[in-house]
Amino acid sequence: MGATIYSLSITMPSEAQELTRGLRRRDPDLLDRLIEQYDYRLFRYLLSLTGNRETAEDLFQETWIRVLERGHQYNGKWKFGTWLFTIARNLFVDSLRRKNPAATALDDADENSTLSNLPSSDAPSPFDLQTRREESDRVARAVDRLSPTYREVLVLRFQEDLDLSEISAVVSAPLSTVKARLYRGMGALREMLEGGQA
Amino acid sequence: MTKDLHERAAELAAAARVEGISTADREWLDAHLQSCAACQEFSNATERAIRSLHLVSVQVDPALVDRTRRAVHRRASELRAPQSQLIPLWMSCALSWVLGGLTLPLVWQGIEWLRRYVDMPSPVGVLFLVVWWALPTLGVAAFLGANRSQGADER
Repeated sequence: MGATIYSLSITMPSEAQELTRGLRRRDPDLLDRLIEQYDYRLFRYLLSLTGNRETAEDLFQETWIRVLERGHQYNGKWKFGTWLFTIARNLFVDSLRRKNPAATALDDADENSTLSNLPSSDAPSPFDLQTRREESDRVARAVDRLSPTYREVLVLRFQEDLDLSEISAVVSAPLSTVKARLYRGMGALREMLEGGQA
Repeated sequence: MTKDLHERAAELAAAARVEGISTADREWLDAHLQSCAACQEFSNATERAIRSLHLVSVQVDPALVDRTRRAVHRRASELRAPQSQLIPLWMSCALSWVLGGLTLPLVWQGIEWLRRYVDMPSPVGVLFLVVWWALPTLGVAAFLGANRSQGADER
């Protein structure tokens, strides 16, 4: 309950200032609350980037350490979530470069990465559960087959509800590029789902 | 209807989800979708594709969250430690400088005596005095330098 109240209030301007001050102070209690508030969203985003649970877990931890270390750089210009995703993405790109020094972008991410092993969400009845699980698996397979660049923007836009300028900031790409990726990604996903290729 | 109209409908149906469309475009699209089954199906398929993204759920391992919290607290302690270590260091420096100032006449007399005793030239005596004054600063600089390089190694 307390966390819920905090998560609602953290978006208010005065609380945003408090967030900025807390990050500058490297307040570990504030970090605890932020981890609780953003754990699901950050992990889902990292999974969409990496397509690999183990890598996503490593990056999850690294991201929060980086938030602690670089908290003084957060100026409230963007929502905290946007800044958090930007950090996570930069760490992912860095890890790609470490593995493959020639890699410069998400396009170089493992195209064979998979989300298919993701568990489905809870359902009220066994029948619904089974139906949802099958549908979730089908969608996950379709999402797997998307290019990581498309998968990333689709997740940010339709799962994280980020607006286009925020996505542009996170992926460090012009607005026009973000839009183009969204349209192409949406088209590709639609074709996979409707065409039964998943 | 011409092909252009269907293309426009498809573009607007996608744009409505990605970036939003104007009221006039929305009205035109709604009217078109009511009279065109193919475009209606395209729009529905787009909507289903977007909704399907919400079907993919993930589970965050609580152990991962706990590990992360512990790691963050540990790192926060590491980052705070050097700052708290610096407080007694600077206090020692200040005390050293104050004592250095108070004992300056005595030190100078001692250096003068030593200079006469071993028959040193006067500039050497001054040099001794400067080194005496600079010792605390040099000590602090050496300590900070060692601390910084240790921190870099740990990272």
